[in-house]
Amino acid sequence: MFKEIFSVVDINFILLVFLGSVGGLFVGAMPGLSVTMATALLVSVTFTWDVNKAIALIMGVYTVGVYSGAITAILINIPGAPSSVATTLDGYPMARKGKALLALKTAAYYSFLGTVIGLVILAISARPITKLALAFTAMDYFLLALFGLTTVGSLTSKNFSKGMVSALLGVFISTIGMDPITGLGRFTYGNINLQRGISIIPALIGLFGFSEILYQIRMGSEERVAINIGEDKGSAKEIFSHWFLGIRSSIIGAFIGALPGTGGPIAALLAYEHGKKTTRPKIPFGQGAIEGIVASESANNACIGGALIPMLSLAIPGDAVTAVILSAFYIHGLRPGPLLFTETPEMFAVILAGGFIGSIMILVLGLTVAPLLSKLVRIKNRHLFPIVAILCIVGSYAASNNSFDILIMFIFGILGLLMRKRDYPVAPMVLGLVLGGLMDANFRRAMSLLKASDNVLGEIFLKPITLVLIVLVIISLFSNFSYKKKRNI
Amino acid sequence: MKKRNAMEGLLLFVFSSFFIRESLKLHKTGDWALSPALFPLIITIGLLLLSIALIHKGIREEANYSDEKGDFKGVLLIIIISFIYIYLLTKLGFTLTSIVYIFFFMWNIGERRWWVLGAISTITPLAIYFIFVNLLDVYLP
Repeated sequence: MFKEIFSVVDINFILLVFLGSVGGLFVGAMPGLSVTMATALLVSVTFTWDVNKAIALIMGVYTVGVYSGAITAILINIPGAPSSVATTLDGYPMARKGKALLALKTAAYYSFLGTVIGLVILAISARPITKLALAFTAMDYFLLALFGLTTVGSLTSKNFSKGMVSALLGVFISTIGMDPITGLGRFTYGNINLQRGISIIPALIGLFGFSEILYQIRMGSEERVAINIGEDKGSAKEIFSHWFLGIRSSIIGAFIGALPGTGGPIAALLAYEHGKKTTRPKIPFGQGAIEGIVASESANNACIGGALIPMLSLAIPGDAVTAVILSAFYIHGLRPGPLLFTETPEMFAVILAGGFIGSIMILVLGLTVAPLLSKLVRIKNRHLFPIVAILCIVGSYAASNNSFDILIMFIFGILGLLMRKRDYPVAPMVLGLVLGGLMDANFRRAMSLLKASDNVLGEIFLKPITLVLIVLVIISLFSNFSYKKKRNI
Repeated sequence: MKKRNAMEGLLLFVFSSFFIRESLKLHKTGDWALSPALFPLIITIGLLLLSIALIHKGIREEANYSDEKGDFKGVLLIIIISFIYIYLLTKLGFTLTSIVYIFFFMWNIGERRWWVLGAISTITPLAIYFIFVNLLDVYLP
């Protein structure tokens, strides 16, 4: 494995990861921009490139982007990326006590740790999981995708019904276009553009990028105020003494990331809760406990490696960004899934290489440049937003050279705005859009296999994988009802 | 506006009913297992059930808090000029259309200084055009 990774890396590769890292640093730190959107933009812009170079760039953005969400989370209590929500809980109190620099350094070190552990877990488990994946039937793929949808629907919103509406709408939209099995156009109404289906990249750019801009304008967001970094650099001991918590949080993060549909924010919050239960900090959680940052940042970066596991071995994305990377693979003619390791094993090494170099970049950039970033955050919204809007437009156009995709981007932007205002979570829709096609094809295949088989109940209940998945889906669905009673919604 | 959740539920109800009918139209031959109508049908029926749940929940809740502060007209204008952008794109090309777009966009969200407006709205599209078309090999109209 090491040999393969080193063979992929050359100075160009490192430079590209660096470039991506700088981009990710900037994008992750600005609350108006999102790593998902930046990745989607990159995918469409690099589609003519060599795939290794595209992956290098994307991995740089991904790893550093997730880390840099912590920067604004600590400095101004606004997470730059959703994964950094848990970091605000103790990061901002620390900053207000003059310990911002300490908090930032902690975030950098533990994001590095989390990324590395997540990638190591990826490296170890991807192949065995792939072997398991080969035993998956069509019904199992369908159930796994369904599990992802129900999980994300329940975990990302207070209101499970709204989460499922979002998910099902996403799936429904994904059926628009030409049906791959019969060639029949669905919901196209004679429009040639709709016949192509709804392209995922413009939809994602719209949902995450443009809608964020619209939302901020709609809410009349105030101009942000920069905060003083403070002089307390903290001691190495203070930072490193929590290494065990960091490792435990990383494992939690990688595991959550590996579940289809769940990602950074959930991993970070669960690790935070774990930290609360298992440590006795000098300063209590919520008031500036450094353990809070340790847990949250290790977990949200470990999620990266975790999310790549199902993406590579099953072609089912672990979170929104891996959903975008998945489409990048398809655009470049690769086929993730069990065949990836037999047909193009070097791609695995490319991703790992990009990830590891990206993690080094977290340290390099985070420890040197990040403190300066408090000044960057001062770019005024009214200058930033139009520029980002144009980038969204370019990103939507670039992959297909079709201005209809720009229209899709705008429409999804408006949709995203409405959804956010009305408390409908966006993440399930993304997953629905991405998984819909997979679910449809596998569902019908499974149905026709069932029809043709003699032992229908046996097909479902005598197969261990299928049984486990059915149980998981049921648990995921029903855990919401008792939850709702408790919350009294 | 009161009882928004219930109204959204109603909207969803109408939406999903419409598409249930549309999905049924997709079913041509007798074989349901492979029919292109099957999956959309299940999804739209699911949406219908969810819409009923939303209506049910929405009717029981009290009137919603009002949260109308913020810039509603501004957003609406941005949306309108965005659609105009697409229309003009094919006629005027990327650079020109973008200059106009950025100009109005920035003006709309508060910038009033002429030199800033002019500078950012011209430099940005030109810079993007240069970077994307010449350096990155991306085609722009």
